[in-house]
Amino acid sequence: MRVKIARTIANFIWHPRWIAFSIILAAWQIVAVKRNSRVIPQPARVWNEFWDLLSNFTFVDDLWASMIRIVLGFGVAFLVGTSVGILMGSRRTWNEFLHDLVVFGLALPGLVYALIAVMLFGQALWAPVLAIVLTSYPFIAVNVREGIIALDKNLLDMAKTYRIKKRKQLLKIIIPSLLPFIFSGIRLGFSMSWKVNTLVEVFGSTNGVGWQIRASFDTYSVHGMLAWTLIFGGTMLLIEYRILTPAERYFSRWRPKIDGII
Amino acid sequence: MIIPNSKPNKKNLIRSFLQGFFFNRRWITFVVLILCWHFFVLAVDIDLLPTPGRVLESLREIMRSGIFFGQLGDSMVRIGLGFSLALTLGIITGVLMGSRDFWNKFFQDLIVLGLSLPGLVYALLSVMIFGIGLTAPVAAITAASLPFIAVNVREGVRSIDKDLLDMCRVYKIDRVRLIRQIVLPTLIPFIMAASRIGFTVAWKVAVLTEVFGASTGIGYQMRYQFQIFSVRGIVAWALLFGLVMLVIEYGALIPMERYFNRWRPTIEKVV
Amino acid sequence: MTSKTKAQIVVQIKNLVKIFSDEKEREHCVLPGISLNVFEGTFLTIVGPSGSGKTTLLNIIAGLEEKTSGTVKIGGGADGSQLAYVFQSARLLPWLTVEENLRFVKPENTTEESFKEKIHHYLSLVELNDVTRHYPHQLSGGMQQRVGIARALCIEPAVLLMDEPFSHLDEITAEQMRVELLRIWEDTKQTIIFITHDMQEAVTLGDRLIMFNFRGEIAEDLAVDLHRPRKFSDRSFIEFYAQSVERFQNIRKKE
Repeated sequence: MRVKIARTIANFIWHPRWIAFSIILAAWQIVAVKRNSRVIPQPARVWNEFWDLLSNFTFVDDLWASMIRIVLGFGVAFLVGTSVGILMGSRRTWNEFLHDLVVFGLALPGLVYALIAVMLFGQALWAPVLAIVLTSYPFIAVNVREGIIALDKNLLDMAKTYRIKKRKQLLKIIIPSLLPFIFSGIRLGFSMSWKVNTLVEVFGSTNGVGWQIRASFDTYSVHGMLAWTLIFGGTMLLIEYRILTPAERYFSRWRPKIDGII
Repeated sequence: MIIPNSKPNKKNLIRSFLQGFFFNRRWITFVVLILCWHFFVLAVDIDLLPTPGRVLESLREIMRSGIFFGQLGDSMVRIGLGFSLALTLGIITGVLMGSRDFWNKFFQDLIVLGLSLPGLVYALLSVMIFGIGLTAPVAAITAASLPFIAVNVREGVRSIDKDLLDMCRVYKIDRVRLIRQIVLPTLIPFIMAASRIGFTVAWKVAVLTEVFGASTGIGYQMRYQFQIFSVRGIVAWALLFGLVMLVIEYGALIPMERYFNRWRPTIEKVV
Repeated sequence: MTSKTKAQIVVQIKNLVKIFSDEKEREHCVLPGISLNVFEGTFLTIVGPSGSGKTTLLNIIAGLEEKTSGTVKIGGGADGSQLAYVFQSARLLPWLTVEENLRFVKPENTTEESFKEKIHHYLSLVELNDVTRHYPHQLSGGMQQRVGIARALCIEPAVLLMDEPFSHLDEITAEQMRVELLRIWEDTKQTIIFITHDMQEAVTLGDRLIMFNFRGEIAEDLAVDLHRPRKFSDRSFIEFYAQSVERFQNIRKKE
């Protein structure tokens, strides 16, 4: 047991990632010192800025403002995306009807949605919600559709011979087989929501993470932007490892264990 | 007993293609959507919302003024440079990560970080650091699309069939033939998928960079329309953007993919 | 065996016709009008060349496919008669444990508790008491198929349909499974319709043997009057087996 723990710690310390990090930090430091320009701050400066934000809790208000927008927008996008995906997966006509629309939605950059939403709704809550729904519903829809197409017809036939009621089929066969697809849809859709919400805040908002990034850009403060990016990234990691990964692990506990890929 | 159909002659083929093209549900979708849009705008009556007709007007203006191809060309140069750089570096990184555990661990965290950063951050940072010029968009595009390409190529390297490699060892196949006949055919579909995602990312970041630090390009045009508060201008440019993407998709990417996958038994149609 | 004529008819099929039409609207007749009675407690095996409509017959009995014409009556003819189907692959729900997979097929009119008893009874009958909490992927192919059989038995169906259930298993496992299936059958006297393309399997298991020809007609309907347990070394078994193979070859020659 003790040997095992020691080995885990050793593996953590002698990990090539530290080499990568050191090389990048060292190069950054050298360039920053040599150029001695405002637009390339030293790593320590960025860290101080980040630490200031964290320790004074100044980030909380902006993060909270962004969160509310994202959760609202993503909630609506999830509902829309799932319904569209189910329609596309189960009805041929609907699939043909919606296919091009979804492809077009996937291809257009979030910027377009963000700009239009800001022009239509200004600083109202509708702007980020509309932009988020338009950008992230196609991702959820495509995944749900794939899941429905991949449904094991053999299992449904089996249920039919045993005269299992539709409701039970839905709960015990259809939803469990859709879950992995829904999860990857949520992952993609949620990260899209973050990104487009930040854009909306850049162009038409007076608070939120995106607005802070915009403010840093306007004042040419690279360290400020990097600090806010760290906060952004940290929140994403927290959501990934504290919410999504545990939930997914719980729902796929029946699967054979495969060695972690990422 | 199923009797194979006699081969249809060329005339029939062309006719059936035209029939499929014109009497397609797609056009119905299209018309229905346009009508919905039109009547929705008339119903809500907000000045900012343009009807399809007004957007068409804007489109005509853009095409008539002749600026479209110039602006598109500027964007294309930036994308082309940034994307080819990202493809080269991404393939190298991906191959390293797929074949050596050390390099995989070395790049792992950086790649995850790169995948999760929004394009906006790349765009703003490179504009601040490199100013207005060719370097800023190229740097932003390369940095943003490289991780996507690397991840896909890594998966490709990992999926090379070990049994086939063993077979080659038994028959003492030399390295060049091994790479040409086994490694490349396995990798190409992954590289294609990587290019697809990478290219989309490249476009989006290019447009963003142009919004914040350029005086030409499609992104700059969108920004300009935003500043003069013209929704129809933005929609028009967005439509042109989407059109170009579709042309590239159907004109270049899909035929290429089909060519490289011609030996596969079935072509799965995903999206 | 004389008592069988007085036994109740469990499956009654009259003039069953099935015609498929493909996407080019051409019609393929799979079953040209079959009539067949299956008595209670019979182990019926059906052999036929591939594409002769064996599986279609089972699917129609099970209600998975629509018949073109004719009648199919199961049990007393009441709609509530239960059917069970064991497929080529076990078709277990991968996200449910062994026990939950059995509980999944609980009929509406059965109480939770009495069904639980049945689950445990039939799991012990297929000797899977130790793995009730395992997920399917943790079991071997043979064990998965045994779960499939236990699932079929625990609803105590009027008739048990089996479509080449051992064809995906290796021969040693398949042989064990046949022995077990016979043991269970002797225990429960369950009516079984068993499809196979393997004549030896058909003769080993069945007490009535039906051969289909290419057109989906019943070409032979034999009573297998061999004592059990049947061994391949028995003279009577070999004779019957050889005869059956010869008849089957004759059927195919006539095509």
